[in-house]
Amino acid sequence: MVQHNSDTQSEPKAYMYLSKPPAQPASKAMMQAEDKELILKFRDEASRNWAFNQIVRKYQQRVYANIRKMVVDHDDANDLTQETFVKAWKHLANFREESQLYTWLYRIAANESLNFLSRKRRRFFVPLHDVRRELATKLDSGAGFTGDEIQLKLQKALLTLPDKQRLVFNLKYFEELTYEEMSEVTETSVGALKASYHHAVKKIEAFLAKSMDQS
Amino acid sequence: MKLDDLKKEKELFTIPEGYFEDLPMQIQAKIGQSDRANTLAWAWGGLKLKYALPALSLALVAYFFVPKSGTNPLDINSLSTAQVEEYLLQETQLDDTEVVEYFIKSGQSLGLEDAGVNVPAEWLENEIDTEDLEDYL
Repeated sequence: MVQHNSDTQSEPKAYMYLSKPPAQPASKAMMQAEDKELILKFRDEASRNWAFNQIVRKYQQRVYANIRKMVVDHDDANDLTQETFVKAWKHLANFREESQLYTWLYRIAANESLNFLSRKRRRFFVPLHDVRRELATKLDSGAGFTGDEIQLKLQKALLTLPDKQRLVFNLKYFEELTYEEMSEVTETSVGALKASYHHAVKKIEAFLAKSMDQS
Repeated sequence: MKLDDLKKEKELFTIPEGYFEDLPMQIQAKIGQSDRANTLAWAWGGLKLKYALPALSLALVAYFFVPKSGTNPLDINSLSTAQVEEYLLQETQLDDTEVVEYFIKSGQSLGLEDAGVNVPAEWLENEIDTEDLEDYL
């Protein structure tokens, strides 16, 4: 088992593990009621800043974790998380509540991540494989990655997937969203998401089996 | 190997200590910057509008109320020969031989009919050496 040392020069000295999201409300219904209340307070000029601060505190860890899995690097994830919430601030007043607040935030975060990766390729004329190699190298360097060897292989297997399929896998496997929630996030049909996740699992298992044979 | 055989780890990455305590303040600061930038953009837009509206009004007044002159579209028949000659002399690089060649190639008359001489363009093309003509002229 390989334990990656996170004390590299590029990272701050002090660390904490990415903790679990704050204590979840007893049920999704309660969480939704709380979100509705926060949105109402956001629409009131007097309580707007307070309400938005509560929303940020409630969802920042989940949004960050989702983005970090996509872009690997902390600094990039930090920028994109901030950008996600800035966009949420700008558009929350017009949020029509056709979806849940957290799926709406996830959607902004997902778009930010996918656009970031797409821009990265376009700006530097970097082929797809080079971006994947760059992300894999970051994982290999151990900077900021705390998982064991098998988790590292899983992350590398994920990098072989197209970005959107990787997003689908992360939402299902790590975030444990339902397909209906994922559909709200990705604006893709449930059937297509099921097929995408199924194929992703097959590809990952094949990758893991191959890498096990090699090692 | 099955994915279900793996222990699911959700905490895979480290983050700087105190990151989530500071993040809401960083986001608020960024929102403040963004709002200020928007305010400036609005102010600039308003300033532009302040001058653009009178300018546009003046332009409309000028268009509708100032008497128009010489607005008819140009037609070759409306130009005098002197104007055409002036244009050919001043604005084009054509020399005499090119003008003669143009008339010959297009099969048009050289205008000698007015002088009572009817010379077909084909004949001119075959019989007259334009360089000799130029020398002569």
